[in-house]
Amino acid sequence: MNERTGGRPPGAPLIVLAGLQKAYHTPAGEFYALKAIDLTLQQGEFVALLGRSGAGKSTLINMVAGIDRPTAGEIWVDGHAVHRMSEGQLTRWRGRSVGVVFQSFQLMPMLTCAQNVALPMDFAGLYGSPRQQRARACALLAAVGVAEHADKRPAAVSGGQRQRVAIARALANDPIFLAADEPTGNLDSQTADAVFAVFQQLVAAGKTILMATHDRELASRVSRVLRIEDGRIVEDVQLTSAAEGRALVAEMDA
Amino acid sequence: MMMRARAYKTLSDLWSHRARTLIVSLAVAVGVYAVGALLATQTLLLREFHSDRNAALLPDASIYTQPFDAELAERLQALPGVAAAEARQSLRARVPVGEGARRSIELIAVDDFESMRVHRFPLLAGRWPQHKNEMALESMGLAYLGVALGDTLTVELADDTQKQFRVTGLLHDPRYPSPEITNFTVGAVTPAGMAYLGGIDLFTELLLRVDRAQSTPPAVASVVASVEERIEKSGRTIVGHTIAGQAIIESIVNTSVMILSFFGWCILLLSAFLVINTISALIVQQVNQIGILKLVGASRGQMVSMYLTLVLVFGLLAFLIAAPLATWTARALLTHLIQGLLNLRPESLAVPLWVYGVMGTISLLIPVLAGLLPVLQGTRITTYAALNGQAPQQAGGIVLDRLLQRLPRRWLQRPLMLAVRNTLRHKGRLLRTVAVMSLGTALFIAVISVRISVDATLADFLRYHQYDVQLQFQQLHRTARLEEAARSIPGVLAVEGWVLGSASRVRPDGNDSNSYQVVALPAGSQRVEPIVYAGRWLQPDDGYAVVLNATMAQDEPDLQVGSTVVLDIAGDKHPWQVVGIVGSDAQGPKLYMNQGMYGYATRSPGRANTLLVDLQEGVGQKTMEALLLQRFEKAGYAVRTTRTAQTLNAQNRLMFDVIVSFLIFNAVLLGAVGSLGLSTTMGINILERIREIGVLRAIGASNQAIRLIVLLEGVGIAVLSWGIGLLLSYPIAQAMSWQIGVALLDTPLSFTYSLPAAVVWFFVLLALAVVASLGPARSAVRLTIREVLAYE
Amino acid sequence: MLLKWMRSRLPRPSQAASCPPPNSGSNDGPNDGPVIDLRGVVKVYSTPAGPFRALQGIDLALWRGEFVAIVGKSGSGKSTLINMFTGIDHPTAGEVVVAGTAIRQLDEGQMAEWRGRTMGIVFQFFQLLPTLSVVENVMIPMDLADQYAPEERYARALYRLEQVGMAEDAHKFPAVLSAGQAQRAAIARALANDPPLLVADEPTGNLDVRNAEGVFELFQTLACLGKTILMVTHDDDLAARVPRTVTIADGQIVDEIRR
Repeated sequence: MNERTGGRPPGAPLIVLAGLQKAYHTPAGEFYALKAIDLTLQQGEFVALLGRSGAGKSTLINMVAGIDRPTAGEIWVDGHAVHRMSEGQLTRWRGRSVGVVFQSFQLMPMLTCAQNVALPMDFAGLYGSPRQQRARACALLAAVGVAEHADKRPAAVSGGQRQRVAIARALANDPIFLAADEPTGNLDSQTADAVFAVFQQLVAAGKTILMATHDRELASRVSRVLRIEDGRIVEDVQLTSAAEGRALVAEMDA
Repeated sequence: MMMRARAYKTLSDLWSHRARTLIVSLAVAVGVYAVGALLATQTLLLREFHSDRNAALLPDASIYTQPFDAELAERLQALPGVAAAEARQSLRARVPVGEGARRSIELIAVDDFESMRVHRFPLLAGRWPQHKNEMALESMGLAYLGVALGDTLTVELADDTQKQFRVTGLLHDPRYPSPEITNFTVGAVTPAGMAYLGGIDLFTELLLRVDRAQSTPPAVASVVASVEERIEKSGRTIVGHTIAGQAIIESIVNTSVMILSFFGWCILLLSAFLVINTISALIVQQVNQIGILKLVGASRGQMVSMYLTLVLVFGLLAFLIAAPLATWTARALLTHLIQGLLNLRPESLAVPLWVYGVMGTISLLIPVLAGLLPVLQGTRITTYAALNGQAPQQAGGIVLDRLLQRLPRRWLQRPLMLAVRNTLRHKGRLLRTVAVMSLGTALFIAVISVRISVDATLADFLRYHQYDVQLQFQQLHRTARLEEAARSIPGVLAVEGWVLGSASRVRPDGNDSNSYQVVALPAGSQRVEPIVYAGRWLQPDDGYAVVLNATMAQDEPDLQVGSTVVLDIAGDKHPWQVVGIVGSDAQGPKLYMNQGMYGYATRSPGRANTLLVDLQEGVGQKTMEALLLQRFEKAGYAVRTTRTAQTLNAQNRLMFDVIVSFLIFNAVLLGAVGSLGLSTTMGINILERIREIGVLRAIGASNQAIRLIVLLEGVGIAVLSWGIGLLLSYPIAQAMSWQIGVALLDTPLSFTYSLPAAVVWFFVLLALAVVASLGPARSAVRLTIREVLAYE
Repeated sequence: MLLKWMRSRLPRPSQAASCPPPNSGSNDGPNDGPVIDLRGVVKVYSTPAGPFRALQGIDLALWRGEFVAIVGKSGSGKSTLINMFTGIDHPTAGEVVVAGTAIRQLDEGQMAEWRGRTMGIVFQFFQLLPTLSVVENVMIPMDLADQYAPEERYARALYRLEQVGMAEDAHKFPAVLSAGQAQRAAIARALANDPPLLVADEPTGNLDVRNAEGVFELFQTLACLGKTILMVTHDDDLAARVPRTVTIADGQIVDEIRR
């Protein structure tokens, strides 16, 4: 993965957000969804973003993933100035360097699971011929445990399986980091656990993940927890061990 | 080779929405078909029409003079400007076709069939006549006279003598349309045959073809003048000449092509509107997918090319549907309708490649042009907006929204208001749908109005033919004796004697015009009910006063009411006063004058050559026509032609049949485009509003309420379109009547607006709207709120 | 501080305390039964991966004037439960009884009419009809249910808007409203036919804190006025301020708190 560390010096943070603001135009005036966010993420971190609906979680995820553009401030990802990219550059960069996972999966309904996973490779022109792309897609589906559904349409598999396909698709072009917006929001607790386990494996393999969630139990099992409220980061806690996370859960249930 | 994932998406967009693929392709296909069928028909028709006539080497002018031999013609051919000159002799005769009926034939004597240089007849079957009792018959004459190749034909002359001819061959004479229209056919005989018929084996007609470089009418006239001079030097008097103008057949062709073009391009425009509607809806429906594609790294170029590929496939399918149909239509029209009416013999039915080229280009261009803007707009929205299903913004419409707020609140209940506002929601789409349907409405009403105007015009023609049967004699007879003879025949109610003669105008430059028909009526005759365009009708005490019909006025544009015209009537040149211009009767240019003056000018007072006969109630025109002919011939009067008012009317109608059937064909196509338009629009509207229907459900809307809202929307569009179409239909109908009338008759049709057509079409549209909305309404009712509000 | 926030499920002093207690315990005569009664409701969805039991036997009764919050994680069955209450979906087993009658016999159209008269629904995304002005949006349930004399409807709709503080915006179209205003208008529409029951599915989910607070207070007021309110939320802070909280997990009621 080191050969793809862009313009970033070794050891420097993977993601740097500086003075990030996002305003939406509403009939009632400017609405600031994000108000001056400063944040640094290191490679290999598994970060959970907590907050109520409307607090700005999704907006922040969208900024980092290059899905939406900031009103002010800077976004540096892997040495790239994301805030300066044009819409076209942004799309190209996102396709190759970011994997995005949504609550609602966002799979193409008419493509099979394997085709969905191969789609980013196709657009980026990576990983060779369609046959080779398919082979890679199948390998990724196997890695998230849904190899047997490769040739089914998303509608023919369960929610948990769809989310795994979406994760495999997010990994298609071997991105530097994964942005996940409520990835378990539509899943029952067992399935959510299984999907979360996939994330844990990815982090163990060196991926960086930023995950918005309002599931506190899951949030307690990551390496770092951020809490966002009315467009500001109000809490930032490093969880150094699994034991600390478990302690946190135990404390919550008490 | 494995398919790329994105190619599979495009393929799946086509295949899993087969109905949509079919509708878009059909919408494009209708336009391509309309234009393709137009171009193919036009190309085939004009090509074959001209090649047919060119092959016949039709004369530019004919000169009538005293008898001469073929040798003179060959000498005249050497004159400068003359490309070919050939001697001919022709004669009108009758052929008995059973039960006393007679049909006319023009018999032409040809010097040498093997070396015809002007007006060359192709031999279609059999062989040329070699003996005096042999004849080659125009191929359409077989059915007209009821004979077959090899049969013997009886030709009856003016003096009642009958001669037998064997039909040895079939020829093709492209000068005239079907004998059903002209009421005569053509046969060719040897000079000996002409002598056998009582003529001489010399010639009185010289057919001339000038050098192609000088084929303009004034150039032809000067060549004719020099040829006439040479003939006069040979000691022969010139009787007259005819310079070929545009044949009636050409105006039918030109008018048909004009109408086809107008409708073809209209339909293409309308189908383009439909395609814009469907493709922008497709993009709106795929906004979320566009978001996903952007999310996984699809550049705008990649997406645009994906969607344009999709759209090109629609075009390709449209071409595959439309091209064979268009070719087939053009061929069917030519072989089944036009060929028989125009007496056309197509050499080839090959549609030229460029027509396919145009169809192919239109097929691909229409969907691409229609799709380009929605595709560019759709792919421009940000990933965020696309993922959240925010459709590209529709511009404009603020004024309309403001207006909507002012809609009266008291009487307009909310469900109704919802339907009204939904109708106006997508202004662009509504505008295009309404354009399609209102133009369809306008053209439909216009077509029916033209049809009715044709009937009115035909009825107006009969104002100049107020009789049941007309007999025209070879010579002038004492009017009193003719009338007396007629009155003695049982079934005859009333009778009046006319003179049908001819006159040519001596133009101010000294040249003679072609000869025009003169109708000389008894003073105070009630047998013409003219539509007076200018000036007045004849009065009993008129002297050198003449009334022109509209066709004549068109041919001699410098003549107006009050002008003086020098007429050459049988050699007597005298100035006449133009006192009026009246409507045309589709029988060519005519001059009306008092019979007394004509008799004076021709030194034949009290004589007539034509009898107009009114019959008693319940007596058939056809039977009496035969009876009158028989009685008069037996009594020693040589009858030239007979005709009944019914056959005259039928002939006139036949000419319009081609045009009217084109019109109705196009109206049907327009109707198809209109209904396709409404049903796709309704389908798209409902599809977009599924969530709102769920909301309505959630706040208590019954099945009936939802169905009503959807139906009202469809009916609203239909009624709006009808209203606009109604406004447009009057000027369009008027313009079409004018164009068709002028093109075919040199005079506008007697315009009649068809209000019943407007009313009928209103109900057709209403039914169409209900049917088009019923499907979407049913599926809207079937949706459960759970499906509708299953938001993420 | 984060840990403290995570523990914040402990009840706070309820602002509804000033409101008189609901009459769930008292005996008021014949109309004394629950407004809505779910009896052993089971809902099974068939999914490609096999049958999925979204609700596994729910017994829940709502009484007149009660303000009930249903909390639970996404996927816990909250939304399915709401669909049972509103008649948007039918249970696989068990009964939904409203005013003594089971509603399973009604078809989709009849259900809509019944719903229009008996309950108002408030959605997370407001779902105002974009082609109607605010006051027209409030009038449409009256038209559909044919409630009140036609000439009365406008005045009634204005009164409803006044109730939610939206009278000034009555003639605006939904597109120009802020989220908070739109949700107030949606609540006014839910109140149009003066239904006894108000069902709100994540009504504050799309609002910022200030607007969420305003909407919540509106619900509290309505509960005081005798409306039965059922609110699904995953905002624990709000849930903690509701007199009765039902927690649902994996299709079962796992906790119920009355304050």
